[in-house]
Amino acid sequence: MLALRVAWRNLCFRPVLTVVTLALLGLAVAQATVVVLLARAFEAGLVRASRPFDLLVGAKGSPTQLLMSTVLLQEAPVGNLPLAYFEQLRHDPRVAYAVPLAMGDSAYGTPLLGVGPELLGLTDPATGQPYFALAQGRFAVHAFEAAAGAQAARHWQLGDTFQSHHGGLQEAPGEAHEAWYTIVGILAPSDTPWDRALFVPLTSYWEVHHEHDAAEQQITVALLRPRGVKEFYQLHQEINHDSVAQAVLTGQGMGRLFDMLGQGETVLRLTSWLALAMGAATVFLASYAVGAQRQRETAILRALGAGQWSVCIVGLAEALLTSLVGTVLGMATAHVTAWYIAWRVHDASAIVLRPTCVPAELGIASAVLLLAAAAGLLPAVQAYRQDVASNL
Amino acid sequence: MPAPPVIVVHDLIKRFRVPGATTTFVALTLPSLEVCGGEAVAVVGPSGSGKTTLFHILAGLLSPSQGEVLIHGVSLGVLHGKDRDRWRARTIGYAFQSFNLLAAFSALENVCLALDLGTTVPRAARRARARALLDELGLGSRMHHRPGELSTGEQQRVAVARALANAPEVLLADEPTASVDPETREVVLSRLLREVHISKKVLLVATHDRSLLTRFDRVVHLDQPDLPAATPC
Repeated sequence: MLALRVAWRNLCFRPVLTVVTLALLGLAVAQATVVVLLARAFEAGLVRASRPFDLLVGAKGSPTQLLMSTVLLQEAPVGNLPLAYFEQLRHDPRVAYAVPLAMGDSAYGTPLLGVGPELLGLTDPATGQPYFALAQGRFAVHAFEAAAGAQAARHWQLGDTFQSHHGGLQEAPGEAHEAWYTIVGILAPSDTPWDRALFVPLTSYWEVHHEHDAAEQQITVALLRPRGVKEFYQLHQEINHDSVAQAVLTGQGMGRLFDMLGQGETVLRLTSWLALAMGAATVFLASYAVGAQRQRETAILRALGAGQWSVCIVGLAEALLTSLVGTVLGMATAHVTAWYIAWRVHDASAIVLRPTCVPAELGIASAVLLLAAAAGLLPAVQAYRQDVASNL
Repeated sequence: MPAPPVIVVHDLIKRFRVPGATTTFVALTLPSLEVCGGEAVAVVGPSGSGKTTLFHILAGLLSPSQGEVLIHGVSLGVLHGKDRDRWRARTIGYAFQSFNLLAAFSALENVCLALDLGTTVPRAARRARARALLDELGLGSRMHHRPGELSTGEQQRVAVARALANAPEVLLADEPTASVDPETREVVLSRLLREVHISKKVLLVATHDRSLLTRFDRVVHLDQPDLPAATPC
């Protein structure tokens, strides 16, 4: 208790040194924690975002592009597939549910998805709850009606009208299509990037692209739910085997994405450990910088009757108190930062990140305390072994 | 039957190693010394005669190179580690020449610290005792100031208050009036002597101030160690 009191007083007595040490250590802890929090949150957020999509079928090309453009709405679509091909898939007995999707248009920066009302029938197999549900109005089923995703509804209200453009997400929008859409419904949040999209009937999509005949009509992606695991892999293999389309297992694609993100995360983790080591070095320097003062203080305490272990603990306690406060401040900063980043990511992509506490934080806190204990060890040993009389 | 002396010193010699050499020099020689309860002793001698070394040995902070020191019949040579620390906290009150106050603590906390280490009385009682001592020494309005915010004289009084805090059996004061004005000197000295004469403690004061010597029961000359010192026990 005495040791803690003396250690605390000493830290308060050197406010500049203490604050600088706390700031450096806190920033190191914050960096390490943010990386861990966001890595987990991104993984969970992407898994959540891809739940409605089992098997994506699109034109031949990059599977990652198909995944990114469909699930995350982040890249240009790979190309189109004939509607007839989709109908063939829809009527395949191994397919339990199929949703056609047309992509490539936008309205003032908001992606426009041409989709049928089948979308509302896409349910979570575990709970039976639909992934996409209406919050207000009705779904866009008639020509040139539109429904806004939950996040798109921040800018679009029921009754609003708009014209669509070709492209406009990754490149400058093309000339506006002539037709005007009217918002007739708003969807409830689905925790997927599709919350920032506008949904219009597939027929209207074809209409503005002058695809009037069935032979001309195209879709961009087919969202398939096979009847079972066997059918799932069969379809995947067969589709990829022919020359028309490619099929992407969303889970597998996300795994590849995590692997890519993981490489960046590894670099960030290494940097974080370096930062933590530097933070511990700062604690050591702060302890060592006051060596002469500590020697005298140790001698005074011993002269007053404090034991060798008591003065030894003072040295350790200063390092541990600094690291404890630094860790708490750093973790608080990390959580605030992670929530801010999550909010910005949600704003930009509608991916819901929930950077909640993770067990790895305990690991970081333990590592910091261990490093700090190591940093405080030398001053502590010096205090233990110090000659009293010569320092009075 | 006379009471046994509180402090008994036999053939005390303290040598220190010469820095950077293998030779040693003798810092203190004291063939014998006995101090009884209720006795105030002035220890005099020129600088370097070993006054502070003697006090450090009596406080158990230094071990003699030769000879023996007994306090209340207990040889300091047999006290080690925790026992010696505990003994020092309860038995010795030491006002250092350079005050040795903790810079991060207020005057009150510096005095309380000695009480925390030397007594088991409740915290409130310890604080009350520390306040009373600082009040007595004229520091009532300065007790929440840190040493760096106090004058040299005020720091010296805080050091004296801290030495008195545990009502120790042995009070050691190294030049306790060197940095104070005449009035404060009287306050400090009277307070130390009162502790000796009323509570029958032992007081040893190292001083260069010859005008103070008449206030003590006895004077020990460290520059004349063979001079026999009368023992009033």
